[in-house]
Amino acid sequence: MLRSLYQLVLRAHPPYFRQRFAEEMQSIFDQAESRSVAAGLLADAVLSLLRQWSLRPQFWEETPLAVGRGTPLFNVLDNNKPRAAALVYGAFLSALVLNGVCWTMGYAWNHPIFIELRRPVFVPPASWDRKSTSVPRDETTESAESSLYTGEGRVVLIFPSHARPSGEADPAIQLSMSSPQEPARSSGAPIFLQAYPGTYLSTAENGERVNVTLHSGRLQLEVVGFFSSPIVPIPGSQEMTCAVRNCSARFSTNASSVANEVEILFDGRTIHAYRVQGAVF
Amino acid sequence: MREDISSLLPLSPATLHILLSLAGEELHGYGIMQEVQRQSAGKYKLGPGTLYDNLQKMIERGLVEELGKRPGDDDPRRRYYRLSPLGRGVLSAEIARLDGVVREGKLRLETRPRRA
Repeated sequence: MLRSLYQLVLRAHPPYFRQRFAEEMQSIFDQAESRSVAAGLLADAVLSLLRQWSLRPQFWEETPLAVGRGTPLFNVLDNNKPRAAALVYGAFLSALVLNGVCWTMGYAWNHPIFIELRRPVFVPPASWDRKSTSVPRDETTESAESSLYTGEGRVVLIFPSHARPSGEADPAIQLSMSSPQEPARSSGAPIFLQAYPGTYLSTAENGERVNVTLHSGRLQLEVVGFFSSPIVPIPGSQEMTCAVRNCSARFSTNASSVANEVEILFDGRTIHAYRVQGAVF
Repeated sequence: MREDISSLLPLSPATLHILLSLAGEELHGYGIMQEVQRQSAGKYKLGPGTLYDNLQKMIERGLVEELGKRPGDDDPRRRYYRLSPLGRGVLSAEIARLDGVVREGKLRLETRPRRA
């Protein structure tokens, strides 16, 4: 019983001390002549245990085995148990890092960036410019480009093009190619947009005046006395939409594909105006 | 060397007795305990815990050298220890210091004024 207890106390000693002296201490204990002597040795071992753990931290680590000259030294990790203090420190550090990562992830997820997509402004793609030239294009590989402006920056949207039969030309191209007016091409603006600029006059009693201008390839709609806004064509429809306010404009064209009438909707009102100036074709 | 020795003095009773026991011959731990008990006429008993704690420190300081196990010993678990030259020097310095203390003590006791 006392021997087992003594062994237990010896095993509880720091690794360095246990490795070097436990065997000898056990040897001395085994030579105890009486039970009282063995009990005294047990008490001495308990005191030693307290002393080693509290006053001898420099001897806690196990020492590498001594080897002779020329003998390779191999460290076996089986006996390399980390110190209790190192384990506690490692656990604390791991918890700290994990908490930091979780906090960072949570902070990021709680602060999304919301981008309000306002009414998009589609700018005629550069490929439309190329359509005005006599160079034939490859409809199967070319994709239409459109630019979308928002208050937060610029987003480029790329839409797949719809392939047309090789013999069928784009209406815009038809418009430009059928036009006899070469000066319009030299202005640098998309040809089909040249059909809209001009001055329009409402038939109502108030006689609102509507100016449509073309600057740098963009149409500008001005309802004199009310608002002025860039307008852009809505692909696939006859309408144009305002960039800065909730309004739309629908142009009607004559047999020469020149706009001669416009219907503007804004703030619940409808203005019907006819071209009075600026017919370019 | 002199400074190193003087920094180790005075020795604790356990260290002094262990060095004294090893001054004559190489001994194992149990032998050191028995020798200490013999030198002090049974008045100073050294437990294994105290013995090996002191041996650990003395080996670290270079006062004692560990010789390892000896084949053919009664108990193969025993390891032998011996005094190093530094340990011998420290022991000599401590004995000289104690000798001075003893002489000083005797001198004081002899010159003590007697009561009339």
